[in-house]
Amino acid sequence: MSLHRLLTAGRSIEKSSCTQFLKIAVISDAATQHYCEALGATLKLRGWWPEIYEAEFDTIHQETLNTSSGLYLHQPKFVIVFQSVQALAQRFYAVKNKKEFAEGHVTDLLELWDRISSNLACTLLHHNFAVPLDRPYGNQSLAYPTSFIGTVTGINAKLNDLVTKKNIRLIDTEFQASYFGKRNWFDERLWCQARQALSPTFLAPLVKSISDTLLADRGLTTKCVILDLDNTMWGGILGDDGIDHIEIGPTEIGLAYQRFQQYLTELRDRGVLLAICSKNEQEAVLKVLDTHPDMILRRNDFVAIFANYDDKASNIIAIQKKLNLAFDSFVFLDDSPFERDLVRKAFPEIQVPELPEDPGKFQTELSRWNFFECNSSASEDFHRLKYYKDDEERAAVRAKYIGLDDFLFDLEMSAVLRLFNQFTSPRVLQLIHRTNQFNLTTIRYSKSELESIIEDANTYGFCLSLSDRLGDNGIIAVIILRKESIDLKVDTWIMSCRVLGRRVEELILNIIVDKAKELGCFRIIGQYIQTNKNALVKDLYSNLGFVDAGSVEKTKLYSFQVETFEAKKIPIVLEPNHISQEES
Amino acid sequence: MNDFEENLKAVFREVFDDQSLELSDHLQAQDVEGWDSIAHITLIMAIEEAFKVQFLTREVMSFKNVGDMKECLWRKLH
Repeated sequence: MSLHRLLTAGRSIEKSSCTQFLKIAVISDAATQHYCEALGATLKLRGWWPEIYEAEFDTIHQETLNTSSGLYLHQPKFVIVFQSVQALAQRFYAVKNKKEFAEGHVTDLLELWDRISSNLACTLLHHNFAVPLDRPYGNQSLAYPTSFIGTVTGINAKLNDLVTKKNIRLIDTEFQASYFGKRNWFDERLWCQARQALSPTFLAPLVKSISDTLLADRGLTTKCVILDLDNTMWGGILGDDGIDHIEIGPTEIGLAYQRFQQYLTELRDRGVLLAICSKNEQEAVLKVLDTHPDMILRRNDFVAIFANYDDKASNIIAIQKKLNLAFDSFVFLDDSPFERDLVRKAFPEIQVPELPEDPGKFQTELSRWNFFECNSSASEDFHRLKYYKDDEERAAVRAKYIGLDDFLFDLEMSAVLRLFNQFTSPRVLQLIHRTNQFNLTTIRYSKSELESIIEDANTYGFCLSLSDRLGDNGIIAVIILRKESIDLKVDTWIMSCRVLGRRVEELILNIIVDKAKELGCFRIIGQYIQTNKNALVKDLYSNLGFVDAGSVEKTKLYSFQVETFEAKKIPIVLEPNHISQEES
Repeated sequence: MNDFEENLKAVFREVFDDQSLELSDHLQAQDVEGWDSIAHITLIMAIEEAFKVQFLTREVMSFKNVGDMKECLWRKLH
């Protein structure tokens, strides 16, 4: 969000809409009007009403030395000390003895902190310095403690040591400046004109990180990361590609996922819980976790593993119940925009970041959002995993997410039905050859067989594409129907697992019924041929209202009387007349 | 000159959150509600971003009214 929009949004928030209060004071040797207003706006947007005392420009010493100063009268719970590197430079260049400058600065700082602490029961937040770009000794500049950047780097290093000892929260200005690039972060024109320590463009992310630190102190921290598996923790679709072909390993895409898993181990070690929520089969997932040689994370690294074909919102409720954590302590990571949107809608408190398309960029993107701010009692974190592992039983909670249907209608899905033709054939063939899970008969037609299906007057090959307001999913289903006197037989029914849980099955049943009526068929015959990968659709026909019609060898048969069909309201609009348009 | 004036007006209107604001060369900070030193920086930055220019410190210091800004900006764009 741009600074201007942040400030405008902040102004429009009423005190009554905030449920909690924070009393804060900001003392600084730089101009802080934008800073304070932006910090206030960020807190308001997060539901906390800020009462900020902003000290006059460059009055750190006056405010802290005078026991009846505005700072002390305000009685803040948090005091933020923002010393700018530009003001530090001014002092640095004014002294003769550069060697002792860093040490002198740190001594002053300790006194300052003590002074504030002895007058106020508050938590102190202290900014480190954004190390400037001056390089009087070229590449060797940092090695000279008497250079300015050597001095600044030295002070920052000492700060790291001191903040732990003194129980002070560090605001990592140096990280923010590096992340966004210092050539842009520093706008020295604005220091000269108006004592701005950084380009106001970057105030929004800076104050966001400060609000994280403030709220972490109030207990708002991420305690659990819920992870998708396919294309989030490894490349490919486990159900379709199989354990031998998912991409995880020491090269290329596999390496990107391995590195992401390594990053997650660091979160695990610091006490952030990891949970799995994936549309997969539990058994297949456990097999990967237990036996895949290239996986970094294993079964025991997760406090909850929910791999099934229920909607993710229901699984998240189950995870939340099992762990008994508030929704605002979860982060949800999933490569699918559909799932992300669903989770955002269902649980506005859960943090759901966009993930970049390339898994190699996951970590960099996540670091930007500062999800893992930790508070003072972080040591408790380290025991959390064990605590949950002790309570291992998989609670069979499956509270269905009630709002799912509303969400689906909100998605504004529309589908287009096409007969097979030369344009759709490549994708149709791909689905026929690659889909294992949602595949009722798993007949792998060749290209020439597909062509004869197109030619055959009694056989109808359709493909269905689906789009929604999040984007186009392309062709996601293939159906081949064959007229056999009064019966219409479903020879092939394949669907991409990406669109599970969106009621596409019901739309396809409508389509089949319409075709049966058009051809004067009274009965629809469904077939299910079991493989070791398609258990997902074992009960599809029964669930859709078909009745068991015995079996022929390995093929289970189901039948459906067309006249008994009752159309239901489905959240997908089928675009009309598309077939005839293409045929004409 | 028309697009230029319209774009500049749009920046002012957004920064001061006033959709009826009209610009004249003589307009200065004291005439506009909310045009304080902090809003001034926001304004300069918003103009820089909208027109993809950078003002020199000396230029910013010399702005007395909208006319000064406009003239300086116009020179940078041509």
